[in-house]
Amino acid sequence: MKKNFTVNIGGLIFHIDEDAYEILSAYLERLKLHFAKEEGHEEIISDIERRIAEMLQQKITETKQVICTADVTEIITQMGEPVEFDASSESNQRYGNQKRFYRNPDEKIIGGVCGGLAAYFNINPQWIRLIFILVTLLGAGIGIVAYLIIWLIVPEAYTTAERLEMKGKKVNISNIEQSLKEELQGINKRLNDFRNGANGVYKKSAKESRNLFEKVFGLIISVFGHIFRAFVVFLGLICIAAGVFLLIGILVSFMTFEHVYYVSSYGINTFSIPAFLNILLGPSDQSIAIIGTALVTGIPLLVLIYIGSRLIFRFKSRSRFVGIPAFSLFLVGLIFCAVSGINLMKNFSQTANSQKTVCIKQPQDNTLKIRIKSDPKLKSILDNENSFEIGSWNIITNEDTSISFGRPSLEIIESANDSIYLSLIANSRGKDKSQALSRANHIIYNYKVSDTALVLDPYFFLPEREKFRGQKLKIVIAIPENKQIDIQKDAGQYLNFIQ
Amino acid sequence: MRKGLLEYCILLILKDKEAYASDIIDHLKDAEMIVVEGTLYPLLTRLKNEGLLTYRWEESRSGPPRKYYMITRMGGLHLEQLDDSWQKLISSIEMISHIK
Repeated sequence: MKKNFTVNIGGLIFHIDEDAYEILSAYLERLKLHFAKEEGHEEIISDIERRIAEMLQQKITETKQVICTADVTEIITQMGEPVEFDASSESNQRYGNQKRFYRNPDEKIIGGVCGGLAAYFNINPQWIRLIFILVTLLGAGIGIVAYLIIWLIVPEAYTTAERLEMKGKKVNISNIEQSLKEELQGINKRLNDFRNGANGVYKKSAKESRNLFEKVFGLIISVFGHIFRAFVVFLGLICIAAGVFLLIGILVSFMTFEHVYYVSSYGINTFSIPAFLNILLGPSDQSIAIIGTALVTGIPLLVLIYIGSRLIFRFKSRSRFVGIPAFSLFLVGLIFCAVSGINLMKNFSQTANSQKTVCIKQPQDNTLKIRIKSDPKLKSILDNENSFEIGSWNIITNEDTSISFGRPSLEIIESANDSIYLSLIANSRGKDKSQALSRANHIIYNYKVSDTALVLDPYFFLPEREKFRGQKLKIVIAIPENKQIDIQKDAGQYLNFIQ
Repeated sequence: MRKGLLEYCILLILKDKEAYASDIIDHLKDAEMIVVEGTLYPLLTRLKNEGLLTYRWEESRSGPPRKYYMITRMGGLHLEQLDDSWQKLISSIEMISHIK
């Protein structure tokens, strides 16, 4: 015989013996504890209790009026112990319901700043962008500054929990799963876009039953898919190889300072960009020009290498993350190059001539012999592989000095009177007329008048460290009609002829 | 992942018809998705609180009144999204299992 209790479960009355009562109330306590932290726990408990009542009812018959231990145990087994309830939401309290301002990685054009603001205020991000642009236009660029500040200070929402906080949704398991599903969709979409060919058939085959034709077709498509993939990998390798090779070349070119063009005894040719720029520009402009050139050439190569690696390794793209800084650096490089280009142009804007005329003694016979001086030492220097040749100029550089040699041009005209004249017309460009003129005057040219011939130097040259400013020299020989000229046959090799 | 899948299953069960909690439990047991009934109740309450389900009371002759659950319009939309995610998940896994 046992004592019994009369209990009210789920609105129904039951008789339950004392042992069973102990077990059942202990179970109900455990349930209460388990659901205590959950939202709507009272409702859950009462639902469960009602269900328990339903189940208990079936245990009662005419002949069995009291719930016993076995019944309770059976019901507990059927309903389940709290530990069996697939870990109910523990993380409910961890992050709270506060809405936090993050930069939004899913709504990102530049830095996700506008997207983050949009998520925080629950507006369409396009409105935020519009506001930023308006503020920038009206406020003389304040918008840009504000944007940059926010970009630097505010973190991006990387983890799923952070994303949920950004949107202000409760961080619990079902939301996190929702978020994960959305991310999975995103990844899926990218996978699909990348592997266009094989996709359609796969999906089709998954849904419908595969008959033989579809199997074969699917096989062919997957073979093409593999070939396509191999091709992509090959392309990626080429990109990387080209990019690395060119990048090394550029780097070397930036690191040598001595000669503009250098051939070493190992037969390696290098072209030094800094030395080249040194000839053109003054020192202050040089650094800007060097940085500009470095960025404009280096960044595309780095991007090429990056693309190559992505083709091969297929990383999940943070392409915007890489693309935008790379692009902006490139832009900076372009701007620097443009600025130095403009400065350079200014130095070439004015031109001036400086002319010297001398009268040449009449030759004994009626023929003026014109010879080109042959200077083997000079010739060997110029033929030296370390001299840099551009157009009709040769430039030899050393660590801190450069000497430029140019080819003069020769024009022979009719003299107005009976005398023979030799004119040297030096021309140079410069920032302004006086600078151009003084540069023209710096041009050095030698010639010799002897009894037998007029010997012309094959080169004019600029003094050490004189910058290149498009200096030209024209030699004009005016000779009366009745005299003759005998010019050595290969003079054309040395001078430019103007007829 | 299981919890989310159970919620998906509940919405699927309620997609075309209304059901009692015990019906839903039976379906899930048949499909071997749950073992103990207690798993279900917190889920039902949560889905109801999120507005994906609603219920009405049905009086029962021989017992306590029971909740008769049905899916809401928002639940229907949510279900469509879950269907989509599920399909995409399947094709992704298919694709992955075919990668050599």
